Amino acid sequence: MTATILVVDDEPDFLFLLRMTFEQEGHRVIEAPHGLAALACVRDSRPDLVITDLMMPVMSGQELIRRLRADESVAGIPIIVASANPNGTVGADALVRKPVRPKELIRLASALLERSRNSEPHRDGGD
Amino acid sequence: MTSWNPGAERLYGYAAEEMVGRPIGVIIPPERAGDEQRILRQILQDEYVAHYETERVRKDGTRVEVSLAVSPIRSASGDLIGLSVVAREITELRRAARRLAESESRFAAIFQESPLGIALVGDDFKFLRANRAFCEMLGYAEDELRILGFPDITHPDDLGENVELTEKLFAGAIPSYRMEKRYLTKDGRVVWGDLTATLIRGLDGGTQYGVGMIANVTERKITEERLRDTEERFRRAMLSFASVQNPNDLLQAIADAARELVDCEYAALAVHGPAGHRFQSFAHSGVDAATVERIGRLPEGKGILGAVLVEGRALRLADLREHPASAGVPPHHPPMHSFLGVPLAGTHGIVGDIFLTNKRGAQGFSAHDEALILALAPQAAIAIENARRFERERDLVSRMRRLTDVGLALGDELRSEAIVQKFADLAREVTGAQYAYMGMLDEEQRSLSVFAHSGMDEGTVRLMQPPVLCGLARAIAISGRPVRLADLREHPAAVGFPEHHPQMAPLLGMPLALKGRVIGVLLVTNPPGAPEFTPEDETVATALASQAAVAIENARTYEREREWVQGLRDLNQAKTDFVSTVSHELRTPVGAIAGLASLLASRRRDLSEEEGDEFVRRIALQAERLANLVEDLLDLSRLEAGQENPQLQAVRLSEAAAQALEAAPPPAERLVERAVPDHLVARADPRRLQQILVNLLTNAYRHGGRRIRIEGMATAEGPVLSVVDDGEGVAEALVPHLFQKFTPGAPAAGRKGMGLGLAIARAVVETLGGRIWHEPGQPTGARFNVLLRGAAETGGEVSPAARTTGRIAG
Repeated sequence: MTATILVVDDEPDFLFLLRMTFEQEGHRVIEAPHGLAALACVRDSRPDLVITDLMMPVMSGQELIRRLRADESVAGIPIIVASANPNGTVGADALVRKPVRPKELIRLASALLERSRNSEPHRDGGD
Repeated sequence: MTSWNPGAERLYGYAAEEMVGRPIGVIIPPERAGDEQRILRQILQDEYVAHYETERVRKDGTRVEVSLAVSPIRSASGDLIGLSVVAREITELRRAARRLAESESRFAAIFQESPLGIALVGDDFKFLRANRAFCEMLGYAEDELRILGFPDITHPDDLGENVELTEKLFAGAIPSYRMEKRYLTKDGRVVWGDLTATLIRGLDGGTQYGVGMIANVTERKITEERLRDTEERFRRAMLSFASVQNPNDLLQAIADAARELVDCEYAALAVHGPAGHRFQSFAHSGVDAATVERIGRLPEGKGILGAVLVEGRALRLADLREHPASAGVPPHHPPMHSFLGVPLAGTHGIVGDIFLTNKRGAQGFSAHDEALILALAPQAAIAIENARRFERERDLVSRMRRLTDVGLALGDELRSEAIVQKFADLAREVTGAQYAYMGMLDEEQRSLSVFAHSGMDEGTVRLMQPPVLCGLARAIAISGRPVRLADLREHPAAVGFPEHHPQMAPLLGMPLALKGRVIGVLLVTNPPGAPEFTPEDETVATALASQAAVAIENARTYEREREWVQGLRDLNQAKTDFVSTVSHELRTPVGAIAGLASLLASRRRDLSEEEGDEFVRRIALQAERLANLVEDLLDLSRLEAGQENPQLQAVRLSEAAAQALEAAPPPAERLVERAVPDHLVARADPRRLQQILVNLLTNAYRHGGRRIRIEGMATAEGPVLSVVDDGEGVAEALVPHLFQKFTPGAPAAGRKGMGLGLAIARAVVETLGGRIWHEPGQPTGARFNVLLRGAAETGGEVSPAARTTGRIAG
């Protein structure tokens, strides 16, 4: 089943890599270079999954997570943090250390999408 | 002569045979020729002459006094037929009697004329005889005395003893006695006699007389009495100030005592100042308060008082106005005439003078008065010295106590700068000085690291150059010995005062030493004219210096340890941050390469040719980025290790800027202006200079706004190149760490980046002998300035900046 995945990273090659990976799986990929741009994308496109870096200009990944979780309407979207040092991150559904293995990421994304779809009617998942 | 016996032969010298038959007239001296007829007549009358004294002539013609006993010789019929004459020589008896008479008259003369009084007293204590001296002593005639007993002329206070002794004498209990007693004269005066009494027995062995020999000792007694009185007054005078401790009260007590001792109208006491040529304090006695008020100022040691001060010996004048040094009596001072001035010499020299004027009831002061004051003077001087010492010691104790209290309070202070300031303040306080200065030597003991002024206004301190270790401070630091000077300007080590420095003269300089090592210097000073510091000041300052040395060293040790610990902590943190940053920075390209390569491998067949090329292009870019990162890390490591030897040459800066822009061209929508004058030439390594500029440009592309400028200008220090952007500028918290290695861009804003660009730039600038610094941009943004070493602009060879591969730093 096709899902919309928002990828947030200031590294163009990493965005390219994830886009290639998830498009091969039949998903649609939206890209944002930092947290602030990502917030706009979430409101516009209502993605099914967010994969974000932590250290980025303008708005960090942690701030993005905080804002998403604070907004009732989007708080249930699953979030994966992909960072060189993801330890200590608060509010994410999963943490992945860079460099990532594409297959591992695909498996994790599928699991989260599955769980999210099952709790869709309640709209209260995400914790 | 019919018979002549041997006795007659012996008496007259004639033998019997020469005289028998010769007339008696042979032995009768011519003037006594009538003797025979007189004796015969008496015999005829009385029959007997028992004792007839006359003179006869011996055979040798000498006379002999004889007593003749003559009796008649009658015949049986009773007719007078002859005379029997018995002659007894009486010459010796006569002489003895005559001598006795002479002796008696001599004795009478001695008795009468003796300068000693002599009196005979019967056992009824009545006078029997009294000589002239005794009569004159008492004013009685001898006859008047004979009707009196000695108790009648004896002072009642002495009578008891006198009677008792006399009774013992008459009783034979004592052979004689001696006493000094007072007699009452006829006109009621008291005279003193030194009486020696002995007992004399009469010839009959029963009658007894007391003989008294009396010397008139009234004069001596009066002298003794006066002496006792003088002693008593002197003792009182000394006692009056013996227990006074307050120096001012003491001076007053001495002046009062001196005035009373010699009984004069006015007395004063002056204490000399430290230099000995002026009065430091002055106490006066006998002048009432209102008069003192009118006179106004106290004497300073001029005129007649100055004469005593200068000469240092006693001066006694009948009229002080006649002395050449006299300046007359001060206005409003009561008139003065007689004068006595005596210096007060103590154990440590002359401490002051006593002045006395207007001796009462006499023309002037006597030699006796002078002697009295001369005797009093050393006592007064020692009392003043003691009072001063007591005062100094009490002061010393209180200063030491203050030092201890404050020192204890300073124990809690751990910042060495604050301690140095507080001890400087304290030094000024406990020595009563106007200025104090404390400077701490640096580790090499060559210059001053921390210093503090006390007592100098802040403006002056700011105007002065930061003090360097020179002059006296240096001399003290080197010798490690304290210095106490009346005028520091005369010391050979003095180098004069810096500009704006106030003038100072008395100095107390102390090394601050710890375990024999000088760690600082304390200088306490006063303006010119102030008195020299005392040994007590030195004692206090010594104690303070040792206390300060310990406290400051403790604080410094604490500071060093704290800095050391903080440094280790910072280093540790920086390393942790570095590992984190480096791992992130390395992982990003490594992850991208790995991901892209893996994807490319698995999906190779599904990809178009263009898509495949895109994969390869991205993999190559990431690989280059990785290579650059590793290169930067190695570069920085080399620079820090000092292994870099720049190739210095003259570089035209406008060209260097152009080449840097070529190596690191601005990304889209960024505009770079160049404003570097052509004439600016630096002495630099062209490759390294380009690396600096590329790093700064890259930094500006990353963090700056749209417009970026490269500026160049000449300064006195050398040419300066600046890269200026109009971005958000550097967060204030970041500024101090801007050029530190391992500092990631701005973690607070979530930016990433190795932060090696600026650290490398600084390291490179330093190898070129320059300086790099940041200024906030105007109105926004950041300005990074690079000062380079200048090169003489010559028309000759100026190499164009070398081309290097543009690399984008972190």
